[in-house]
Amino acid sequence: MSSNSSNALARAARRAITSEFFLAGILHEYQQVHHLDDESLANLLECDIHDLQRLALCRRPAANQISFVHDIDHLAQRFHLRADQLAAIIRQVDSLRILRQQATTTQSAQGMLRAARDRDDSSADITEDADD
Amino acid sequence: MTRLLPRPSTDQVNAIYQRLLADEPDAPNDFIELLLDPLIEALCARFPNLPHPDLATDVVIDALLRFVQSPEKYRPERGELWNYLYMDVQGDLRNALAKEQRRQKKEVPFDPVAHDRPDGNTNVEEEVMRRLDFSSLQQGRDAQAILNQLRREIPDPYDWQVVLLMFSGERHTRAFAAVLGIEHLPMVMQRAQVKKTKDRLRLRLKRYGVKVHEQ
Repeated sequence: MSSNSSNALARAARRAITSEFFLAGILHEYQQVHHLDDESLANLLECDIHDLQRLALCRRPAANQISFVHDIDHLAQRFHLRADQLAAIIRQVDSLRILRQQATTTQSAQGMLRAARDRDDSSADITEDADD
Repeated sequence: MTRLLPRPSTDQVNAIYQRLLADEPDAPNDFIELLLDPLIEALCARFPNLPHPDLATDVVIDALLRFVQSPEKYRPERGELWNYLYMDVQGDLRNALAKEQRRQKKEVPFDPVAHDRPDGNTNVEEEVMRRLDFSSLQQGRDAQAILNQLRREIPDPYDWQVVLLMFSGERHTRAFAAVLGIEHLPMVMQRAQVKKTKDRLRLRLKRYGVKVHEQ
């Protein structure tokens, strides 16, 4: 594989961020959360900074444990990076996503409860007014 | 003069394609990296006067990002993978250009003098839209929406090119044979295969309420 990556490849890595299929979204989110630039991320993974966009265009490791470990090892060998760090990044971003999803669900449930409570309060007010 | 990047060899493309099918996690990157620049260059050479320099790049990127997620859609018996992808990006670029042209037409007042002269940049899909049989279509749907739907319903780029040829009134077997990659076959077999493909596609189009008026 050529060591000179094209501008188009960088553009492809950016466009892949929105897809769940690629690692691009995971890496991007991790960088956002921890305020890391590419150099810091490459240092963390102990890989060549130019390989980051290649890594971004790889399929994200499979969810089940055996395939996950196999995929991580494959990527670690290919890009000479720290497998434990890559695994930790993916697990952390996945956890954050689950938490965010749960928070959204809780928020919307709380919103519905609040709306129901407000409705009950206003009917009670009306009843009290009527009693007056 | 800039030299075009060499098109990757069939063996190179097929080797990575096999890795995609084997679900290797780094295969998508390798596939994209191998084909991205050559496809962009091939497309830019075919369409030298694009309105935006990044249009070809984005079309190729989107096509490759899409392809690596479902490589099984490509059927090797239909021809080389490079040709499949090249046709796919050409179709997408034509769609993008047609969309861009419509957007520009909305922005710029129509100038009948300028439009008197054909600019030589024929747009097959615009021609297709003109030929769509509106009487057979549901009311309230414009030709572009139908065309977009058809493009989704007929994802195979070879089939799509055949559909475009049918709509554009092409009658020569050799034009269809070139698209289908069967020019090496004897003419009798070419005719039979072209007919079979056209009949199959005519039936599919009919299901979506579209008739083809071939001249």
